[in-house]
Amino acid sequence: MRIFLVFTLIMLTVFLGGDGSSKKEKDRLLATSYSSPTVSDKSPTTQDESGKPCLTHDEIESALQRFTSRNDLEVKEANATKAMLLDKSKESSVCRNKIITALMKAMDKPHLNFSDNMASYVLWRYGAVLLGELKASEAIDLLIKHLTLKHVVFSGSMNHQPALLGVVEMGSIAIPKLTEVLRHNPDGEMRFYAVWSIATIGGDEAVSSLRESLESETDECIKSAISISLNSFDDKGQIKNWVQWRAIIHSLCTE
Amino acid sequence: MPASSTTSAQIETHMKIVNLPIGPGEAREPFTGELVYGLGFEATVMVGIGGGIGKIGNDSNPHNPNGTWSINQTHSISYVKDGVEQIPAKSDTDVSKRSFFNYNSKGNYSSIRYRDHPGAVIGKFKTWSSTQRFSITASRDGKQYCSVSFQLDIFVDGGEKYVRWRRR
Repeated sequence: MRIFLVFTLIMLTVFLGGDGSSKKEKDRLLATSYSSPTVSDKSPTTQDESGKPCLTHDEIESALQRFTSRNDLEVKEANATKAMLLDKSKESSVCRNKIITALMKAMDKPHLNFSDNMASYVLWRYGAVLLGELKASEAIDLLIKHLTLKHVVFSGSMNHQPALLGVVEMGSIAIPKLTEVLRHNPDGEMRFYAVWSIATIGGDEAVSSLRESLESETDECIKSAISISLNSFDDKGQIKNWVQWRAIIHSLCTE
Repeated sequence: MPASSTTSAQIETHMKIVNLPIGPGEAREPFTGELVYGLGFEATVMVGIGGGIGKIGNDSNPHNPNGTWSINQTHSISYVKDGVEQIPAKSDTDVSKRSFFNYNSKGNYSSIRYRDHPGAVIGKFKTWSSTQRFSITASRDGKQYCSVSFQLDIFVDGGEKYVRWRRR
């Protein structure tokens, strides 16, 4: 017997009353970063071309450790930490490079196993998306290398496969490298998720990439994934019906 | 406001294709087809005035970015895999624009329906025991107006396995 869990939340007329909590949280994290440098912090606070101070290495590492703390961390704080790093990265190219370098160094560990190391999973969960939002082209290889690395706990949001989310967040700058994977990587799962990523990113480059890869693809399932994706695009190269595409692609190779 | 009949029919058709069945049981990972043992569920959230749903999880609704409502699903987990207790995962956003969702666009994005099938990929361990806690919320301007929470327990030991869930 199938048991249905359907949660229907009916929202009626409500009153406005924003508390600005996420901004407050970001400000608090920034204040913490500046007021409590660690003893080992010997690097001076760098200033960018506009004279604004960047975070020190220790401050960045301290922020990254917020993602991997053993203590329960509220989602609001993790998101605020990510937003704070994103904001600081936007202030100057020096600061952006510093944060990207530190983040990649923290994420790029040998023998990653998310299921046996929750701290590394959580770092990737937030770090991959942050690198994507920063359009950190220097991190594309790192993310693609781990494209199929998953946590053992599945989620329909695909959060259990963080590099996939990061690559998609990169957008069109990731398409050339994904196209290389699609054309030359012998691992079928890598090629499948390259199709998934390219189609999700969308745009003219995505259409060209998939169209040109169609002929050379030898795996019938992946070939079908490419065809279905091409047929699912609108005239701007965006998937017309997300849930339909996702449903078909999800089940395509498992029947 | 209920979803229009056209939208409901479309969603129904697409959901039938999705390899994420509702209820306790097995789903499959894309491509590899690895079995995921857990619980399938579907959530429907309807909101009132306020320009509809503008945010899902951490993502802006690209079709309705000015909507003032935020829909979120958060998730935390503690588990023991092959006898080794892992560090519990913090409460984390677990729904996004990449999830299996569909809006009622004709109703000014005033409702959303999505499907999930949280669970563990069996075959990656010999024994497994986990507790996952989920909350689905509807918020506006930082204030939470409605929520539902439930707990999911999964146990696997060789041929024996069960899923148990309850509202919290």
